[in-house]
Amino acid sequence: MRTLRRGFARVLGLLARRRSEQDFDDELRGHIEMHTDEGIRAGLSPDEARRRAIVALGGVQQTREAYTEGLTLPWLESVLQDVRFAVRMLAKAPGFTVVAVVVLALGIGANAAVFSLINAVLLRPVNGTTNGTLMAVSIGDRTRPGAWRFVSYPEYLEVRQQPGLFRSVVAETPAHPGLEEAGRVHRISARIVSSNYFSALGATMVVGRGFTAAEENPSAATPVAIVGYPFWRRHGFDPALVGGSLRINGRAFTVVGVAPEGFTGVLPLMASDVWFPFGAAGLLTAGTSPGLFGGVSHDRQVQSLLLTALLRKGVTADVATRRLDPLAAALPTAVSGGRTQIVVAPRSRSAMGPSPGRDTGARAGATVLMALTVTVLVVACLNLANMLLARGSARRPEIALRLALGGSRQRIVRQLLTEGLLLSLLGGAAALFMAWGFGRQVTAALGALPGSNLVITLTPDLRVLVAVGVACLVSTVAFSLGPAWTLSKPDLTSGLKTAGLRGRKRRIPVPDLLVGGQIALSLALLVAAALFVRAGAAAAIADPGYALRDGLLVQTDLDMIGASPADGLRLYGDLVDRLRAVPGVRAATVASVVPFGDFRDGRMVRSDSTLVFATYTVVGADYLETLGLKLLTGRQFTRIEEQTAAASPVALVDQMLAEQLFHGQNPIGRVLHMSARADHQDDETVEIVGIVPTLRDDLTEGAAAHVYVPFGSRYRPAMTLRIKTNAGADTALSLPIRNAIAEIDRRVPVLAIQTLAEHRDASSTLMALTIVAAIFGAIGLIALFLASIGVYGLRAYLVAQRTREFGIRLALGAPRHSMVRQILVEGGRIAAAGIVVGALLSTALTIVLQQSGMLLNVSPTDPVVVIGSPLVMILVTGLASYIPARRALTVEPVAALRVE
Amino acid sequence: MGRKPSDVWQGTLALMILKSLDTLGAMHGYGIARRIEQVSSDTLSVNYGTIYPALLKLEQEGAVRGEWGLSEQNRRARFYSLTKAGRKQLDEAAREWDRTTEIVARFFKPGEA
Repeated sequence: MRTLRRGFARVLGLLARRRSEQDFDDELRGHIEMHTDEGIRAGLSPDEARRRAIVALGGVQQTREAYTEGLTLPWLESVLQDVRFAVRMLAKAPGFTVVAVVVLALGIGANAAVFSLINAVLLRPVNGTTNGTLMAVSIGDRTRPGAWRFVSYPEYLEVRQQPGLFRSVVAETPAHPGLEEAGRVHRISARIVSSNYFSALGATMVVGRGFTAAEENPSAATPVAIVGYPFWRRHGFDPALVGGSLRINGRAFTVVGVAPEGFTGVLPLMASDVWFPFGAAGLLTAGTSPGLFGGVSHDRQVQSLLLTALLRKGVTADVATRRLDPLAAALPTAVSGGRTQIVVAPRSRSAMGPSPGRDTGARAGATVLMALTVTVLVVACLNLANMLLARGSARRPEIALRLALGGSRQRIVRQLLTEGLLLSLLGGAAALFMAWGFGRQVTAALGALPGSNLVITLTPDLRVLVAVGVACLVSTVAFSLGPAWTLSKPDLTSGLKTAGLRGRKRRIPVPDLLVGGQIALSLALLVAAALFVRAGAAAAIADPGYALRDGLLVQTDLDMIGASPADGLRLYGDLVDRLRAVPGVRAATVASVVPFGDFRDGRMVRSDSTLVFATYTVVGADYLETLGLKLLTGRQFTRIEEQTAAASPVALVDQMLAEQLFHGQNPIGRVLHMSARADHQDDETVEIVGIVPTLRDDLTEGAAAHVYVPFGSRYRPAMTLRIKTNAGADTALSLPIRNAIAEIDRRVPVLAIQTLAEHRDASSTLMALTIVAAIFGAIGLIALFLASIGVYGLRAYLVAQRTREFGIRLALGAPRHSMVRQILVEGGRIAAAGIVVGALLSTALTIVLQQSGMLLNVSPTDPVVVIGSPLVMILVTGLASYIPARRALTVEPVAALRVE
Repeated sequence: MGRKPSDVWQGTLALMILKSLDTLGAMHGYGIARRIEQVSSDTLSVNYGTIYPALLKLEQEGAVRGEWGLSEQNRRARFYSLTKAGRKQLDEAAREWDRTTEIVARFFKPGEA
């Protein structure tokens, strides 16, 4: 304690040292005066008295030194001295300092921004779940890797009741019900969860209670809900909210609790506004067709749950998986005839799906992105090393003088490293600022997505701070140790001589190597960046197989007004009929899948023995007309099939599916069996009545096989009304369409009304691709910028170094352009070598990216990228050499000769 | 790390300073040095200067407090006085010293050991 107090006093003493020393000098003077007074009184001469006083003291200077040593911490003192000197040196060369800090800020900033993104997606702890690793319990087909399905409520109970394996097992299914507020219905993001959900994940309600076991019973019909903290905040922390009621999907739900702040459930990236117990599931939706979320039932056929478990201490995932084998064996076999398996594995943080994903995609992406940004930092360091070397040769006389005066090499290296660290820290601070700005941009972009419930926290946290600190330290060593070592070489005499006329007789000078390296790495980065930017651009203009123009989409969900299936079917029938009558509308229909959406519905489709996967869409009549496409063979669905349950189920298939199943034979009249579940017998048996063109409704993948069934026999509460308008009339029609809908039933919630192009631009896939493309684009631009600074800096420095030589040559009658040519040729050689190496590097990088499946929508040999990138690099480095070379033209021979 | 003789001296010196301040009340560095010299009957002859680092250490530890004042001859001097913590430290040290000397004295008592 006493030592601590003393240490503190000494650190303080360091900060306020001047005053204390002054103080002590006064005290010492007093001491000597008093002692002298006494000597004089004893009869000594004043001089003698004073001399004796000083002797008795043991010397003034010695005492002062002994005292000041105790005043502060000597080692810290010398570090501060280094820092003070470094600050002075950097302030003396503001141009150098600014460029160096900018270079470092870009290098470290790219890393900080990317790291904060990775941190948000993969590293931040799952909120409210501090009690262990979350495990996904997944059910799949043992014989078909990748075939995983959601889980039924009875299966969940069986897993939960396994003795000795789990501390707890929770289950959930997403829902997007409509909340009625101030007379308007809007979609909210919700989860229907098991009653132990909150307690198992370690969340205690801020107000109210969690769900009870009775409320978990799927047939209980319990209209209760728990709201999230943000929801409560939006309602001004209204104490009456708990115990009050919310009107959701046309029904009053009692709010029983408020979840704690930051609670996102098992998926850290997706927030919920409201949670419901299983007992409320039946109240929220009228549609419980297979493959749909939201349904929870005692029926084993209703499979919609996602299971998450916390393992008991000492139980590993493998042990749990093995112990669940008997249970898996008791489950029905999969549609392929293969046995069912239950697998326990760490839960994916980024994906909401039935597979035991390990975020491999996200991790691979993170690795590639991080590798690229680290490369940017390497380029920045090479750049800085060169700048320091160049600047160092200007400082040679100073350093040589210090060495000659007995300064140790270690001390000089330390001094130079301190300067480097100071630059890094300045760069790091700027980098943090950049990362913060980047975070705000991305958050704003994501926030602009309609209905997005993504939670990506990009504000720098401790992990980001530490990462930036490490980046600062490592880069300091990387860029300043080499130059410091070289510059502090105790080569006493040469440094003291005037610099400038030294011959540079190395085969490849270090600065050239550094610049060449920068060009090579930057080119590789540029190529990678360009590929991703092209991919993003390709996605943005992706051709879905039909024209986007004159298309309108209206999204609605009749669950939100609590319509029964019969009422809903009738209502949709009235709606499309009314829309078809709106002037300017050429065709209208209903469809279950929004193109470019986040959700796709799929079925295993079987005909005889061939089993393939196809995208499954419920549509009305005139579907092809709303897309502007032509039927290939057979017929489309009739209005009858659109609006009433048909006696004999029918389907349309696209050309791709027809080819996959029937290999060129006529598919009309053939029978298809479809299953939404990996383990169950067929859900639907349909007869093919027509063939339609192949199209794609996903931005990142190519065309997919499709099967279409009529709405009349497959009612769904949430549908999209698709409308084809007269040319150029789409935006103008949105109001008449809104009115037409209200005319049929004022309660029908219009969740979104968009043109097809607007809808595509607002899709989260496109947003993700745009963000990725923007990040890569920024990396590419930074790399290009750093390379040009590197080339420019070196050329400019060499020209400045050789001003004297140029002056002499000019004086001797050499033509100016010969000097310019010489500089350009020298620069060009390095650039050429760098570009050749860079081309090889980027080929290797492209192969890696291609292999890891990260290049979507773009060929690795995309001519724009492959030819364009080196061209841009040549242009930029050429320009960067030319500007300094021009300066040689302006050299005045007489002035140059005087340069000293 | 072994104890250097100067550590022993520093420790003892600190104790002597605290005891002197206890006896004299507030006193300046010169006075304390003279007092120690006198009490030890000039057997302890060290540089007066060594007292200042010791005083600084005590001040940093919070055992003494320094304040500017005027000496008897109207010289500006810094007067040190014991703080509460310093008095406690002195008491502890005195007790410790008594015990130590008692134990050591027993070893040197004739007829025993």
